[in-house]
Amino acid sequence: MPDAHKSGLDTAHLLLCVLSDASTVRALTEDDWNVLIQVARSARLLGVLGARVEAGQMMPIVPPAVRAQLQSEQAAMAYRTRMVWWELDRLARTLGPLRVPIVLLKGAAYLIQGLRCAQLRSLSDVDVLVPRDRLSEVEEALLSHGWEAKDLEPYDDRYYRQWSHELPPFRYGGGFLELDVHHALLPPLGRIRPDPTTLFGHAVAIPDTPFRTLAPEDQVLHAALHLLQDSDCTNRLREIVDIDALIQEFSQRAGFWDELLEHAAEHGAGRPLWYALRFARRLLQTQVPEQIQHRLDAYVPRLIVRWFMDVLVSTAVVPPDPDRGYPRAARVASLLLLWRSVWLRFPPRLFLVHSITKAIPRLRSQAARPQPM
Amino acid sequence: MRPLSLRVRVADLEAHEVEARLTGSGLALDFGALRARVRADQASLASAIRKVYREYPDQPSRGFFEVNASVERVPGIRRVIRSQVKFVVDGEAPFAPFPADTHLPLLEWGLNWCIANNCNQFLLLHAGAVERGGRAVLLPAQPGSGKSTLTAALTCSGFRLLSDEFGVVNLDNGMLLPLVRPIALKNESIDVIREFARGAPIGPTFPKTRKGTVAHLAPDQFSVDHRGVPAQPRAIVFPKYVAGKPVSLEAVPPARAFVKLAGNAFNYETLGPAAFDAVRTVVHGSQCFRLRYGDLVDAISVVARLLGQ
Repeated sequence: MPDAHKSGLDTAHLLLCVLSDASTVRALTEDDWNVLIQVARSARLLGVLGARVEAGQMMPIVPPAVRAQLQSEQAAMAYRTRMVWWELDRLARTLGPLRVPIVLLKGAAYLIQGLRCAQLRSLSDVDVLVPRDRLSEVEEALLSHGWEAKDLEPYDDRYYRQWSHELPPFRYGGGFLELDVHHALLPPLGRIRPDPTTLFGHAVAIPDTPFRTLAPEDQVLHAALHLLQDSDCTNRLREIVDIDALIQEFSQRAGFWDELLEHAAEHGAGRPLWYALRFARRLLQTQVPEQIQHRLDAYVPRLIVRWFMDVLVSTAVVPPDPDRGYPRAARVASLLLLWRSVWLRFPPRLFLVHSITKAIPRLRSQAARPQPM
Repeated sequence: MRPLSLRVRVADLEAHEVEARLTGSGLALDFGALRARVRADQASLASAIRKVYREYPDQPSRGFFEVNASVERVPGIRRVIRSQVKFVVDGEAPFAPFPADTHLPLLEWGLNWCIANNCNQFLLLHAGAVERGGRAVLLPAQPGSGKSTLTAALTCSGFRLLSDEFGVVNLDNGMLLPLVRPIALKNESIDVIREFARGAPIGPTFPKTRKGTVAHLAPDQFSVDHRGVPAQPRAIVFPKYVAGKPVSLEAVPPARAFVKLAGNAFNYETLGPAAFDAVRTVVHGSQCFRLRYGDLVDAISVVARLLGQ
């Protein structure tokens, strides 16, 4: 058992070990559990940890106080899941009559498909994809049926409408869940622009609901794109856990791997998929068939780029050390990856403008964090 | 060196020993229903903690803790100019920093936040709770209730402190679990309690917090020593302080008490059906009252009578 108290990477390693193989908990001391629970909580994987320990039938050997914490998280996640179901019901009643195609994305999609990875997964928002030409209709319907637009600075509001692939977030009056209405998976001026029409074409209807989900291959691609193109990879083990879980679930289906590669080629998403599977293999031992890996290697980046990404992502993606926080290396890696994600979402001339303009609001929002009472 | 066989309290430790724990692997604080491991890097905070947690046993900072938190100086310019401290839990700082001279209130409020958010293995009522003779009374918090002042006065009058901030209900059996913490007194309450109980162990005063002036009453030895002993709730008293008002006690119908208690809980919605059952159990087994008082002594004798029944 690795000494879990040395560094951020080691504490993350402990978490990854347990997620991959629940029987690892047999060897844990109470000190180890203390670290593990903190790391899992900060990685928003505490619910998933509990689910895997339970599925591995290891709950009886967990110390009682730890078990109580896992059960606490179970209760909290069950509540969030209930609220998401309620939100989906509201959405169905509001948008159903419009007969607009609605594709659920990410957590809400995993939930409605009853995927194993949805169990006790932490949800804080509901993401949907609608056709761009129906966007204002959808917005109007939401605003007149109880949803409120988030109060944003004018720059941020313009930013969403002009440069982003989603509307400013909505919140159903009094609720805590955010509703993100997308018209594309990635920003419209970005380097990779999966065609929404193709995505809708492959989408799968959920019976007895007005909702659809992306094709399984597209769900995996979306998770990969979201991590590699749309985020700074900071404290994102959760996304890699999702990718691994999706692959485990979908790779059983005939033709999945071939379709995955085909869709990746179609959307120009080969490189992010290559990275996503690389990190999933390294961190969670995700199984990728050899011949598929061989075909995927057509997207392999140059050695120097590969090396940079390996170092940056593996440093940034782990949750902070419970006692020491984010090490400087992780902060630097996060910043570099943030620039990378902004670079990827804008053509070069806009990149500079946006970087500067957003740097100031980012600093301001740091100061506007909540109070503890 | 004291032999390990003697039970050592935080008050028995030298200041530098407390500091060493806080800057090292942490000071273990056992509240009863849960434990916290606290770290801090300022000597003045160490001194304040040593005062308000004086009766707590000095436990090793090993093992599992429900809360692992620290109060740390904000680096950079904020170490020097208008220095600030931040509350850190699970490796991140969830709130905006506080001025460095309000560190203990930040720690206490931060611990409250951690408990309220992360301890859904219990029903958490926003209530004070005290016990005597094996019977406990809940004092749900409402604006203007003077709940903390009343709870503090009760603990200075021979009642065992279960909690000031959190009424912790065991979901399986409806019993109240102690969560013994220093009682935060605000503004006038500080002097009221100083008057009421001369020599009461009140920690340092912090004048410029967002809630005004704050000081903390250290829990007494008996309450700390019995933090592992649950209590049966027998009365729910909704207090309301009205200056100059003679004491009055009015029965509250169970259904009304249910709604008030449920609305008062931190995590009622989160727990759903389990919370419904727990509140129902507590209300069923208790007499429920609204208490209006202008004088602490009167209020305390009313509570004493209720628990004596």
